[in-house]
Amino acid sequence: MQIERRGYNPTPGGTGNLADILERVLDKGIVVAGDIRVNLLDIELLTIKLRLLIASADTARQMGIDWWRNDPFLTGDDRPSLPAGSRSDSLGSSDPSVADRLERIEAALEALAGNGSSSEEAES
Amino acid sequence: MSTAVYAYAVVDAHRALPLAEGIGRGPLRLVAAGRVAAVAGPVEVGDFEGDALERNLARSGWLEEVVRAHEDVVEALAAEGSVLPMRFGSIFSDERGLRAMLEENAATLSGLLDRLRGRVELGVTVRKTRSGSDPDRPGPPGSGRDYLRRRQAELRAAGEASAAAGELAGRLHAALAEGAEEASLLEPRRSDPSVILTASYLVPVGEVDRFCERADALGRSHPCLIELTGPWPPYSFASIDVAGAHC
Repeated sequence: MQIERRGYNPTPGGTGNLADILERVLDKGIVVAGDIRVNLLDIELLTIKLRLLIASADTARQMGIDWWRNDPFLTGDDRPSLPAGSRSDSLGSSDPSVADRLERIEAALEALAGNGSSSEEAES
Repeated sequence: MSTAVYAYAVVDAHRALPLAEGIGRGPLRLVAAGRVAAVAGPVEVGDFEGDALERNLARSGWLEEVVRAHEDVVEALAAEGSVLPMRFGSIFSDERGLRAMLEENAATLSGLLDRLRGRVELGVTVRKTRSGSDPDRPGPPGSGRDYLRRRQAELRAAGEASAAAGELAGRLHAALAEGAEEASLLEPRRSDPSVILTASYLVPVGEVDRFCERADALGRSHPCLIELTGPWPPYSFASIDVAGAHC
């Protein structure tokens, strides 16, 4: 291949970084609608799943869903565990609501990931 | 088991193929229609459908393998001429359907091939660098009220920082776009909170060095780190929807 990769920082010369490639190969290029064997629904599903596989953990962190894991107030050595309700006076309602939110988000991600064949359907 | 036709890219008709094989070692061939041709090869259609697709996606390495195979074909074609990459997973029942799609869109496709000829895509990722001093992490708060107050201050600071980062990203994008013929914002696939801009720029081959110097200078004069990748085939500038055949 004659194309030269010009990496300024962490990307060395040679083959491209997988994330850079995915950004283009999965999201860009000519899209054909119509008589195509793998229908668009499958393709949508494919790319949604790929996104989830690649980014779900990081995205959750980015969205701040698990901020409490890094909060010294909640994870200090003297307070290793956080059983439900045990610290309700100092936490107010924030802990249960975050847990609820996390559950709802996880259920939504699962629903997105499953194409109906998912065994455990999250009930609302 | 049945095979279908996977389309990698659209190129000028009558080109030589720079690679012999694509996904799953399937032999590549040109499917021509007038002035344009698709570079295509056989794939097991079952690998891309239903339960088998689910299993493939669950298997580590499968996706990377097929995506890299797709990319290798497109890159090899780009090294020797104008290329319009197809979206990953463009699979036709048979060659007739692929040829009909080419015929139906021949004018659009050959126009775009001419438009992108001699141009490459350069990828830019901008990360913000820490500006100013981060306040030391405070000790454990004394009460729930202290805790909430601290969270509020943290959230407000984060909001201000993100507004400033957005403003910086906009300024850099505009400055980079000045050195390019076209620009396209990418949806970043890397979930890295330090990344404030992911974009692609269409640049004539002869101006790649100048664009890199421009990016370099911007990186030096702003509180950020600018990473450049490429040259890429013009993926981001061949993102059009075309009609399939209805035959």
